[in-house]
Amino acid sequence: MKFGKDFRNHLEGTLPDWKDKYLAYKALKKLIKTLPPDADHPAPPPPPPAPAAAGFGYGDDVALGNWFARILDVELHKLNDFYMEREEWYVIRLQVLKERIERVKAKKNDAFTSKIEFTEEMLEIRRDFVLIHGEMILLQTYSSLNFAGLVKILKKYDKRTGGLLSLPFTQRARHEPFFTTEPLTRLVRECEANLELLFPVEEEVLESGSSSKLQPHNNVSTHGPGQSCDLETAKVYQSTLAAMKAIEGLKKASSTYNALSLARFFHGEDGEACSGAITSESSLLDSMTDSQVEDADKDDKEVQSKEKTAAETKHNAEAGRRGG
Amino acid sequence: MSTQSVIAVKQPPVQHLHSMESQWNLNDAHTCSAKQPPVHRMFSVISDDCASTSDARSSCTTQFSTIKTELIRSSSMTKILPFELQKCSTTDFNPGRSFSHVSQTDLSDPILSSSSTFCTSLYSSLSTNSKCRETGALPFLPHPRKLEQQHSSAGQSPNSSLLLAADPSNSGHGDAEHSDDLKDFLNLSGDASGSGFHEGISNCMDFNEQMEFQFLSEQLGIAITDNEEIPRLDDIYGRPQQPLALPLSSSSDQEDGRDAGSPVKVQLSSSSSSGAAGCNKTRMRWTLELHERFVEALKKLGGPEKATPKGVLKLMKVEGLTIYHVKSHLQKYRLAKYIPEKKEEKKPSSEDKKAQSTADGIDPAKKKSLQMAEALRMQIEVQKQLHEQLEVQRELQLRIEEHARYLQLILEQQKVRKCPSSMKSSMEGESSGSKPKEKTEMRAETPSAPSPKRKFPDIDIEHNQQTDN
Repeated sequence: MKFGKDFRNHLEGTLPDWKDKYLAYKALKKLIKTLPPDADHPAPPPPPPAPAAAGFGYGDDVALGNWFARILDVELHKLNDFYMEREEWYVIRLQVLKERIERVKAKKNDAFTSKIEFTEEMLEIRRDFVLIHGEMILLQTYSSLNFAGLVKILKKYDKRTGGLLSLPFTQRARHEPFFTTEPLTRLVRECEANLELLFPVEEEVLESGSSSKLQPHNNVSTHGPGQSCDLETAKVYQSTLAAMKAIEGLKKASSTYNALSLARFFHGEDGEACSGAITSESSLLDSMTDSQVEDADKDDKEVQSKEKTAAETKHNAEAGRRGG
Repeated sequence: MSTQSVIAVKQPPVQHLHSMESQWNLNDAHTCSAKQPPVHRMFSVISDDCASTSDARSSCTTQFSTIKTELIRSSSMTKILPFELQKCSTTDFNPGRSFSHVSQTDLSDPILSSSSTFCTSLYSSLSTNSKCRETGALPFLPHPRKLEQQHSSAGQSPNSSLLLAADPSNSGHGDAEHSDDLKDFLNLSGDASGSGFHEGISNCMDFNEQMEFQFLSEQLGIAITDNEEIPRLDDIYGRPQQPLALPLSSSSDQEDGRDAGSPVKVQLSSSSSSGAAGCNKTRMRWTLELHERFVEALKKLGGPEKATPKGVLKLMKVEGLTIYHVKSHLQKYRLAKYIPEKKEEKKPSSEDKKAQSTADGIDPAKKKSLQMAEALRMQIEVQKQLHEQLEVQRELQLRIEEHARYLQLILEQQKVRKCPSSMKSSMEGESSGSKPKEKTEMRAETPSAPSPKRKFPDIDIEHNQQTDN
């Protein structure tokens, strides 16, 4: 519930061009709702079932799972496409920007260019760096939020249909381009290194010490409203703030989600399976693994309780809502 | 070459089929004639695909390989397979032709139980294509409406009852409740088809829901809606399975049973066939290194304006890189170069303004740039902060998934132990693919290393970090 809202809010706040490039979370959720609910595998259907199906009885599940996986694949494809396209763009932009620095530096020694011109150009370069940096971070947000959304959708699907799609699909999705953000992180680091090199912080602080410090953040959007460049940075800035909120929400949600998923694993429908195995089997290997599972179970509870306390201390208000 | 053969297939479908049959030594003229309309349609779908993929051979062949894997799984199909593979290898650079071959073998072999699933898997990849090329499909679909009518008269009415009788095993859960909807549901679910399933669903819904579905389908870019309500090309493509399944239904349930043994694998293979490899050439991932190579090549060729994609491609010598990749990258590169240069050109005018403002006094200009620097510094700080949070979040996401997988493995082990005889086979089937390996790893680990303990504290640490934030 919470995630859907966060997701929607983020879409509202993010860059307009990116909006429809996100996972169609809401549509997928609706779609799942239209699926026939899992009726706990009822009594045999009217005509006597064929032996093959009687053994497994998953014919529908497979068909349904395939069908849903295909839909998600189209979505994955969309995500990958956008992600890689953006990544490519930032690789180019960053390289072009670096070239530009070299050019400007060369020009600096030129007698024709005044100091003002130089500083202005450097300022522009700096702005571009910040802009690209911001967009790259937004792309990382894109990656994270979409993955989270995908996981949620898969969970919902499994819950609704009793399918087993979640695990294999998530395993696959985490190796998809849109969720392998290492190259992008490298770009971000490089961008930051460049910024620090070009515009050392200390110097800045000293220089700007005279001008009143601690301006409210909103000033970014009010600065130089006439220039288009600032509008652009302002957009990125606003999107960054929106992304921040969404990620915060995700963090809160994932702590509960983690605990819940553990609880479901060990105390849900498979709970009796564990205990049954412990009593009925007695081989050495079995008892060892069983005790391990118990360990894991115990550890789970510890983790859960720790998470709970952690979460409660931080978000008191949030803790009460842990039911869903 | 490719288009030629396709056209030949399309125009006299029946004759061609007959010749195909004799060629393959498969004779069932009865089913052949019964299937005429869908066959025709099937071909037109394929020919559409040929048109769309003729410029993307690589994706076509990858698609192919996945279809082949699906084929391999069904033992009854194996006799066709060698020859299938041969075809693929010989027609590697001729996707259109190879496609039509697949469909022919497929259609002209009603005995094989797997062909219906094969059809649909083929179809599924095709449908993603057709979605991208709806307009492109038109020339190859001269009478879509007529076809549909033919179909509904020929296939529709006997369809549900026949299939229901012949194909009962496909029914899974939830059938007892809605036996009415079941008819539709059943005949479609049996053949593992995407849109077929939708039609089944949408038949059960009232108009409002269907409208909603339409909306959903638009959002998801998938044909979901029922044909009767809103005829669309996608739906027409969706139709062929029904009549195809008709003569096959007697044996198709076995296929489903077999499928059920390995649901995971089915999902994975089908997904790769329809998704990434589906409708467009796979996108290249441009890393910094690759781009540097690209820039080097440009320099050697005399700059971005002079260099041609072909020349760049030759110089770069990167495996898997195609002219399309280079072309689009070059385009982007030119654009990126153009943006700052334009600004630099604009410079003088703003410089004039600056000159004017210096007349008023340097202070305002300097103050303004200082303010801007300040704002930018703040902005980057916020962005860095978000970046840090994202790293933490990502780490957590990965850990949770790893954790879930681990727990799943334990559960599977538990299940296997609980009822070793009955469950084992299904579990093994489910986890075919990459899993058995992991499973054995886990087993090897269990006696000595307390892996859960090793993993949980990590998560704890993660949480502490988070709350510290």
